[in-house]
Amino acid sequence: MTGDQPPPGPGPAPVDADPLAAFLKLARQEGALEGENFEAFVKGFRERADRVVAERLGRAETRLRALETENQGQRDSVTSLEGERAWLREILATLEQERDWLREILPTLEQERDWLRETIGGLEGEKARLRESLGTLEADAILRTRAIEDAGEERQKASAAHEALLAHHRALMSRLAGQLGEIASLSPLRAREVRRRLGVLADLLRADTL
Amino acid sequence: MITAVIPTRGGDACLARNLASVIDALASSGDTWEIVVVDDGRMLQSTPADTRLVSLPVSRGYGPAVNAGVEAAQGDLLLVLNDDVRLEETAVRRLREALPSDGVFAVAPRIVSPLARCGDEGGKTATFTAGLLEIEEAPATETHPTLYPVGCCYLCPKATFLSLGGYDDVYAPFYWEDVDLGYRAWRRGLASLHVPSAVCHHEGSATIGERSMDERLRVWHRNWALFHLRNIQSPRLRAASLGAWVASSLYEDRRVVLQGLAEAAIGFVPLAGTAANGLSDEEILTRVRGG
Repeated sequence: MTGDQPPPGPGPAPVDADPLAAFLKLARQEGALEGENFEAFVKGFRERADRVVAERLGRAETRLRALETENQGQRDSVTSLEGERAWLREILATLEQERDWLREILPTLEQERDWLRETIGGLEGEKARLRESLGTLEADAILRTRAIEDAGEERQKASAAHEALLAHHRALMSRLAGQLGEIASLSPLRAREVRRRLGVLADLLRADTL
Repeated sequence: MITAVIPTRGGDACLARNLASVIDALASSGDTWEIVVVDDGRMLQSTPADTRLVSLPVSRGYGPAVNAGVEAAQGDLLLVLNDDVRLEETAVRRLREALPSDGVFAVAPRIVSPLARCGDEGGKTATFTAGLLEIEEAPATETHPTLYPVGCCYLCPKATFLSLGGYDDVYAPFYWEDVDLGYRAWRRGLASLHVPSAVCHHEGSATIGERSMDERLRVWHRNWALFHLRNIQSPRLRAASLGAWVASSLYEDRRVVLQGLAEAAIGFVPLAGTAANGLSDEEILTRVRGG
C-alpha cells in the first residue's frame, strides 16, 4: 500500500500468556496508573469488571437454565418411565392372576381333555362298528339285489315255460278238437276205429298230465 | 471510473449468485467500470466472466485482499464488496450521487442483512461504555454519518483509501479492520455516510462463517483490544480502556478470549507519531452521532 505502512501485527501469543500482566505493564508505561488518568483507569476497570462478571453470570445462568431444562426433561422422562413401570406392574399382576386362574382350571381342563379323549375313543369304536355294519348291510343289499334279479329271471323263465305249455295245450286241444271232429264224423259202423282213435287220444292226454 | 473490488476465498457459488447484480448496478451508474476479483489463497475454481482476477497465493484475509485489489484498481472510485452481496440496480448510482467531492471518506448503502438486529448493517454509531468503544446499530431513513463503512459494501475515492493507508494488515484475517479504517478517516476529519436510499443485500458471514466459534471469539477480542491500543488517543479514554482490559483479563473465563487479549497486549507495538492529532476521540463520536 502507499501511505503510512502499519507495523506488523501480533502473532499468536503463547497459550499460557498472561494478558493481565501485559495490560498492567502497558498501563504503567502509558501513565494510566497516575493522577487523573488513574481515576479513569479505576472507573474503566470497575465498570468493565461489573460487565464481565455480569456476562459470566449471564452465561452461567443460561447454562443453568439449560441444565434445569435438561434436568426437567430428565425428570419428565423418569416420571414417564415410572408411569410405564407402574403400568407394566399392573399388566404383570393381571397376567399373574390370569396365570393362577389358568393353573386352577388346568386340572378341570385336563379332566375334560381325558373325558374327551375317552369319548373320542368310544366314538371311534362306534364309528368302526357302524362301518362294519354298513359293510354287512351293503353286502346283504348286494345279495338281496342279486336274489331279486335271480327271482326276476326265474319268473321270466317260468312265465315263458307257462306260455310254452299253454301254447302246447292249446295246440293239443286244437288237435284233439280236430281228431274228435274227425271221429264224430265216422260211421257208427266203424266203432272199432272210433274206439282205437279215442284210445290214442286218451293216451295222448294221459301223457300230458303226468 | 469505478472499480469494484471483491475479495473471495473460493466463493465461486457466491459470485455466481451475486455478480450479475453488481454488473447491472455498475452499468446503471452512468460511469465506466471494471470488476477486480481478488482470489485470496487461489481457491477459485474459475475466473468469473467480465472480471479481472488478482490471485494471491497465500490467503491473508479480508483486509490484505482488498488492499491487493485496490493496488490493481484502475478506477478513481472504489466499490468495495463482499462476494455474498447482491446490489439493487440503483445502488451504485445513488452512492455515487451521495458522495461529495470532499470531506467524506466513504458512503455505505442500506445493507439488508440477517446479521443486523434492525435489519440494516449500514448505519453504525458507538459509545464508550465501561471503558471500551462499543458499536451500535444506527438505522436511519435519511443520509447520516456513520462510524465506519461496513466492509461488505461501500464506495470511496481510491485516493482517499490510499492516503489512509488502506486496511491495516494487523487486523487480518478479519474483524475490526473496517472500524479502524473508518475511525482513522474520522480522525482526519473525513466522514463516512450511511445512504439508506442505496440498497444492497448481504447474505452474511459467508467467509467468516467457515471459521470456528473459538477462532472468531479469539480474533474478535484481539482486534477489539488492538483497535483501542492503536486508535484511542484521549488520555482519559485510553486509561479507562486499559483499566477495562485489565478487568477483562482478570475476570474473563473464556480461554480463547484471554488468548486473543494476550496476543493484542503482548504483540502491540506503540505507533510512532500518534501523539494527539486530528479530531479527538470525543469529537469523532460527537460527529458520528450527527453533532
